[in-house]
Amino acid sequence: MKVSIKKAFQNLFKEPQTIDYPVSAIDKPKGYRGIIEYGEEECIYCLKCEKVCPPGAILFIHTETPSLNLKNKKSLEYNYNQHLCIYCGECVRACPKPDEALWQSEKKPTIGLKEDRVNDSWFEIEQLKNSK
Amino acid sequence: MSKKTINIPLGSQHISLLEPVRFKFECENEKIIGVDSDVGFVHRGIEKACVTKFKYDAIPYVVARICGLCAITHSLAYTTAVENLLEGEVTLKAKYLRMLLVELDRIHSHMLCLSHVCENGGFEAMFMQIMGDREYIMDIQEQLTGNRVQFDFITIGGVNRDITNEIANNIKKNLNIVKLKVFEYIEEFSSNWSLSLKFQNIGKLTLDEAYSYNAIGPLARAAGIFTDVRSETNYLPYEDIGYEIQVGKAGDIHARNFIRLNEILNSIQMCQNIIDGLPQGDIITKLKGKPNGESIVRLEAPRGELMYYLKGEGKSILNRVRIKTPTFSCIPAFMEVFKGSNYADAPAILASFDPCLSCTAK
Repeated sequence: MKVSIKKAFQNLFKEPQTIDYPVSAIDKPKGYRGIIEYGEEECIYCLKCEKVCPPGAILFIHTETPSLNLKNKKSLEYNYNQHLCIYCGECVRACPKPDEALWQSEKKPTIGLKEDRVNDSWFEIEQLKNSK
Repeated sequence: MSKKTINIPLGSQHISLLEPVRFKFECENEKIIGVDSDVGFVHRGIEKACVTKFKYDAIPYVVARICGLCAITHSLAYTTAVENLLEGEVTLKAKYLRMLLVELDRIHSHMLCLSHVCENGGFEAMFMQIMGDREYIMDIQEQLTGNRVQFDFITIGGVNRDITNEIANNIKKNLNIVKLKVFEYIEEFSSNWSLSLKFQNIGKLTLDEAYSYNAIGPLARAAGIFTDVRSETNYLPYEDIGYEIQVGKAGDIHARNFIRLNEILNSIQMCQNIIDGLPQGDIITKLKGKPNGESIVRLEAPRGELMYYLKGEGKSILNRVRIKTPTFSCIPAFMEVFKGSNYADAPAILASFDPCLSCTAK
């Protein structure tokens, strides 16, 4: 009992344990699981990342303006939804060229705003994918 | 004199509740004489999604999202069941890393429960202190897995990340700090009136009641039943890392607190032994084939026995995924404990059960 009273008084003069976010930044540990980044020039379009993604946050859809990558024979375009992604890293582990074509960054996703049509634009991509 | 009873609901939204559960108490003056419960407020249809929308190799990440506190136990139970169906063997190092994270998870889950018991018992300062100390465990979990809550660490065939020397040293350092803190809690919980005497003989579950209502986990162990899945199964080599069953006698809130405190100490010891004796080898084994047949796996989650039943027919989509969670199994025992208690004690009793409704309703 005495110890707890002593501790209570000590705690009165202690700095708070909470972080004053966003004034001070949060320390991210080394190896923090952030958003997935894509290197278009190195991609071989095997679509393994699309197949293994648990929430379906990576979709390759047909485009009229394909990249200049010679491996992109089917005129596909990489689409990634950073808000749907669960950052598990399965796609990176499945990728034949990890760190070159696909890698996991330590960046946090940006804030999804209604003005950016985060949901609607993704639903359109999903519909295009399902219509094939 | 006629005896009038009144019905008082607790939940589904209540200031003392962490998660949505509804208890309807039939009270005679202050005494609770009858209890009715409803747990289905956060049903998300995860079992159905697992057999319709997701392939078997994506499900470890789906079931991990059933619960934020015991995410790792869910994905471990599922992956163990699939590994049984695929007849694959996981390396010893992967098993050790799995056990490390399960035990870290148990430590922070028990600390959360203890802090909420303090809060609901009216000891806000202790709640703050335990929640603050819990950050030491959260930090090392984040370093090890890359995320604070959703670890996504366990996959079919092993684990996704290896442990580095730096992380191992940090784990040992933080566990030593938490160990000293737990000794302080034990001192507080045994000498401070707000936490010890006040909780004695409150929310009592006797040994006979625990047997007849099939209590599991810390609730049963506090009542004196020697039941712990860690000692009953052999998927994971718990006996090699110094596991000891913790059993109490009284079955009240005080006994449950001490079961959790002792389990934290045992888990800290186990984690230290894992770090010291971590075997060499690969962290993942590639398993081929599709799950065919039936498999049942039991694991000790922080709240008790977690059971997974899987049925597959050699296809990517499973036929059945059945999840039996510890809180769901304990509800009959919960209801029995409430009977005869004062209504004012109900929040503290409920916190001492450490109910997890997101697991239960899934």
